[in-house]
Amino acid sequence: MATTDPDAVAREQIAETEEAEARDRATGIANLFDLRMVIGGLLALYGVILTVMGVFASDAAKEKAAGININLWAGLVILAGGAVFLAWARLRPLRVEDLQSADEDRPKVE
Amino acid sequence: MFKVHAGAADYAILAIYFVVVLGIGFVARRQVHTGLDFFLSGRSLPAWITGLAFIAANLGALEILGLAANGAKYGVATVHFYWIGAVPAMVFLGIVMMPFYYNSKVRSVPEYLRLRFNDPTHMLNSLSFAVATVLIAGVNLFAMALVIRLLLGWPIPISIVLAAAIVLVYITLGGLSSAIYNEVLQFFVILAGLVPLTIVGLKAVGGWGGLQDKVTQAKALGPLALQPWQGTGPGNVTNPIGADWIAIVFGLGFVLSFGYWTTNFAEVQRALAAKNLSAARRTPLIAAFPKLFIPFLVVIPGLIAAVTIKGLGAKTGDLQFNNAVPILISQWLPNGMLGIAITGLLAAFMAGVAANVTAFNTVVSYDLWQAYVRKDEPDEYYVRFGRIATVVGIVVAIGTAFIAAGFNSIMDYIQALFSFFNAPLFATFIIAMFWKRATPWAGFWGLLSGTFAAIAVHFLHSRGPLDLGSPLAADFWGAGAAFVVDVVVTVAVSMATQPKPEHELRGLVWGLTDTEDSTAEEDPAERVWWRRPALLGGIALALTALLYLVFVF
Repeated sequence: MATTDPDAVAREQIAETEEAEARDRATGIANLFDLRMVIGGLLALYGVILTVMGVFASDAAKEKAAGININLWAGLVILAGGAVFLAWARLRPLRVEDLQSADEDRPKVE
Repeated sequence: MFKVHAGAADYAILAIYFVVVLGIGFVARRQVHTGLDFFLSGRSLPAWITGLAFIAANLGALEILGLAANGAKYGVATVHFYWIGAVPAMVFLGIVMMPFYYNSKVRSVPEYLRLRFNDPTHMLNSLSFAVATVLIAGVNLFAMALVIRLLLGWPIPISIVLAAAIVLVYITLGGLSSAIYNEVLQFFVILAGLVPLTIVGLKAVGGWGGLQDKVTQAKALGPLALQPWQGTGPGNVTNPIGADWIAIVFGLGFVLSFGYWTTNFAEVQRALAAKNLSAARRTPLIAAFPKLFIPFLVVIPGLIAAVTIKGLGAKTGDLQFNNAVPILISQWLPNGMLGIAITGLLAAFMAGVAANVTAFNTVVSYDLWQAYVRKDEPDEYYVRFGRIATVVGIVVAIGTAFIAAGFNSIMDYIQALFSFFNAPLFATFIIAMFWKRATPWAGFWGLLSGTFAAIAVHFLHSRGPLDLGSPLAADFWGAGAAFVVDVVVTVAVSMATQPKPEHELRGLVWGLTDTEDSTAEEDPAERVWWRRPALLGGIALALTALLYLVFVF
């Protein structure tokens, strides 16, 4: 039987909204700590640090690495690698199902 | 003698890494009731994550320092540890054994042995596992100490104690609460350090051609050091590795390799964290692909070290083979890259100590103390006991780190340990899984006699009476002996004693276990051709053969 009490309808809507918000929050945190974001973020940061050091590299630093400006080249490659992970995480975010689909009685592995 | 001049940027790179890792651990422990906890505790991970964690869990002191040292000492034949000595076993694990592990829901090797055999077998394996974990933790602690010395210039004994203190802090702060995440992260940082090191090193020696010339001319290596198989004929071994092809194929490729990859739960557990059986089977198969190419980042630097560092291979001091990679880093990487390389090494070795000490804690607290000494105490009692066990484990590991420091090449030492612990365990496991007639006491006596056989071969070689070529060749033969003795004793004892009734073996023995891949049937995404385990495994094996061909011609 459909309820006609406006208060009950409102309460139901509020409950639904809260539930959806909680779900969004869980997915949001999970997405932030999605491993692809963590890898991408760390690599991008390292890439930037190295690239900057490479741009301002001294001759001594180049000479040490057999004449290669290794900070610059490695920095650019690492930065690109980080960007790939960040893009992957952005383009294919985790879904709520991913967080709940596993088999409940599997042993917890740490 | 060699100490790097690390700058602010290097320390910043190091600090960023640990802030990220400890931060994830902190969030993991706070978010107990959300989906995130679920993710981090690893019960729903996709195969690419578990596959990379699988390979990273293995990419520790042994792989980086040990196999580079091996490359410097024995030459190109070191690739056997990656190709014949790893890939076939990983493919076997994924295709044949994984359905069994995943569906039988065992959590550890001792737990399986208790169900399949009896308490004495369980206790024996728990004890030998506890010993193995502190010995291997010691190797990693020693490796950490080498890096710390590189950074700070402190003597090895002080560096070992400092490394132990750092590990204790890391475990206490929750550094292991998201081990799988850390391993994948660590994998990329290590690659980011090793690839540039190899490129710079190769440029410095005049490319691959220049390296070949230099290795051919080097007195300790010579032309055969560039050949994986030539000079390994039985009775006439001239290859620097010092083992004939029978020892390489049977001892390393079959017993040691299958023993390590299929019964080492530090590895197998990574696959058990996958979201379904199909992903679990793909875990070691995906891991096999990076594994095929890692020797280029380890063996080649080893060779470069051998031809560029004068006096490498000294019995004591700074120029031992173990130092090959640290010396190369200090020689060629400028500030910036230096920080990345040091962070990767330190992270890998620290994770190695922490994982082994934690495994030691679990086995001592639950498999030994709770099972056989104090049975019915409240949970807090065992948690408190576990904390003490962790500290004791680290203190003992300081002692075993000094044992590792006494070996000129830690690889020889680790392979000896594997021949004692993994080789007999593999024999017992394979019989336990495939032969339901194997009896409870057969498990115990087989394991015990196999372990003693390997120890006997090791000491007969190292004390003189039995000459088997190189220490490494002795380890291969020891592993073979452990396997054969274990099988013979297990079969003999089984014939003389009563087997367990079949209903007690359900889920534990092949043929009495349901190994159907039900998830793959339900989910059409799992039936895509490029996800089929047999295909992935076949490609990995074909690539292995191809890589060998490249070196032969």
